[in-house]
Amino acid sequence: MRQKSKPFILFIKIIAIVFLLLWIITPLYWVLVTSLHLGQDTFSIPPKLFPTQPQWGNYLMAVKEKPVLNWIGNSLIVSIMTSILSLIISIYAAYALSRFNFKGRHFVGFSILFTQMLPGTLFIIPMYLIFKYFQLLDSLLGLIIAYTSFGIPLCTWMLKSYFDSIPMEIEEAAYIDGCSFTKTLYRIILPISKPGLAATGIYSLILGWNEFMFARTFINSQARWPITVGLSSFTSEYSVEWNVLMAAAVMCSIPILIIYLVLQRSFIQGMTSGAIKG
Amino acid sequence: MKFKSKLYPAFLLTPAILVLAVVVLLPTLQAFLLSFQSWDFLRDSKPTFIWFQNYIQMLQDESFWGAFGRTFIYTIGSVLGIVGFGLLSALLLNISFPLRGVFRGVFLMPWVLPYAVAALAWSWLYDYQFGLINFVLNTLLKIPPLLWLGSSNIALLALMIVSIWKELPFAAIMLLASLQSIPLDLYEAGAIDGAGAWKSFWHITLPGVLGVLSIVTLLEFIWAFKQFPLIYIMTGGGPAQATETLVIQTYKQAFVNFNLGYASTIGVVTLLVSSIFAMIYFKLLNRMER
Repeated sequence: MRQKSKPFILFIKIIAIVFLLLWIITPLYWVLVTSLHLGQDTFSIPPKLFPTQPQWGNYLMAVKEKPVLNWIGNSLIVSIMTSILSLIISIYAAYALSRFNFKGRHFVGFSILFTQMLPGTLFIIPMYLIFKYFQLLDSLLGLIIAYTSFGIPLCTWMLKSYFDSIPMEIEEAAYIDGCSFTKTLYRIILPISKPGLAATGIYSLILGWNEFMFARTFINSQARWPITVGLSSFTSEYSVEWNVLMAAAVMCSIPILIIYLVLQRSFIQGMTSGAIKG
Repeated sequence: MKFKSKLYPAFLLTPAILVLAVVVLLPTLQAFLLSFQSWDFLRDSKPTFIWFQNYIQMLQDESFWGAFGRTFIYTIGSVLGIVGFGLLSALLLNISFPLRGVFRGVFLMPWVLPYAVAALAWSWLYDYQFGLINFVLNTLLKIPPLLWLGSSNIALLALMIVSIWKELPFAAIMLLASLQSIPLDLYEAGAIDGAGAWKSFWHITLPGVLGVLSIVTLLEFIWAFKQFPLIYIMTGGGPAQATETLVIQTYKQAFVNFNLGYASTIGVVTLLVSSIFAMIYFKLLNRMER
């Protein structure tokens, strides 16, 4: 870490950091404030920076007007299942790519990156037809299957980077002691891979929670929407009750934010460990 | 690591490859096939082969080229902002201060939130009459209110700003981690040799973060190129196609006009374009590493 000797430059830096933080936080703060505004305060000029009387009733209104709690439940189910399945599949694939030297290793790695590049609009059309045939449309299971496969490429890549940073001596010693591959993986590698696993797990959780296009295209019934589709349905109305909408938005963001904030340290550590090792 | 069984890695990789092949790659191949067919989903029960007619139609379509240009403007503008300001932010944050963990947690929140939430939040911020942005611009800089999402000249810019807001934390955190892995001795040695701030940045800092910088740039490029929720929710491609990117156009052709064949054609071309760009990018990187 660089030590700056000139206090003036440090002062400028701190001011810049404050501005940066303001820029990042203001939209979030504004969502929160609007969610607590009275109807008339929402549309006041100049905008009121603090709610005059916090209207927690907005939250009840949001739940009454639309099945917001259903949406949150749907998103939870889909994202948690996606996370678990992605993790399981990616752990094996990442371990193979990290530890074994076989022909076509780079090809597999590259094709995994290639799938990241595919625009969703390319394969959503045939996928729609396939899912229609298997009656997976309008179902959370369909979304779970789709999201799990979307998550595999980057999850595998993240875990592989993480496994690469674990020296192989421990495994080789275990192998000499007669440990099988799977035992080595479960007993030795996984316990010390917690940051990598947390990062990958949260990443696919976020992926499942935030996805929009496939959910919107595949799910028709309002009650089965995840939160992303549900929230966006507010804007189709002519006059938008922004305060109630923001209340819904806050409710829909809380679960993922809580999970993120709790596991944040492991997540960032896992994400950036690849960055540090190059 | 030398293990006797060569089948084992294949065994471990099978679930991943199977899932990807069936759920993603198979439909992608089908999409390629569809791009050579004509299928009006509402009228025809089956697609018909029309070979390259879709591609010819697309190349002659003005709105395709419009979407093509817009996609590049949006993508390159966003990536420059995200990576450029991200690097600046990382350099700024590369000092020790208390509560760093808390700061980082809050800092990443825009990136963690769904694009749907960001789209709604910023739609409200951009509101012509009651939005916070027009209010601040008016009171602080005496700028008259702008119709951010409703005017064809600035709608795309408005979207790019949101894109930067959302993705900058990710880029900044990754670059910050990379910055902190550069050994201090290098800077000390540079200072002894008389290197000023700019020289030490150019010869020590930049090479040190180049690896992460290139990966982050590539990822952000791919993600911006494919962007859907932000544009769809905030403008729907409007006003009057002013923000219609290739992805939005593909979606509209498929699920509004039900031209499944033609939509697939645009989709294929979208993939080809981003792949070509990625390849050029890698070639440039290799050349830079000299």
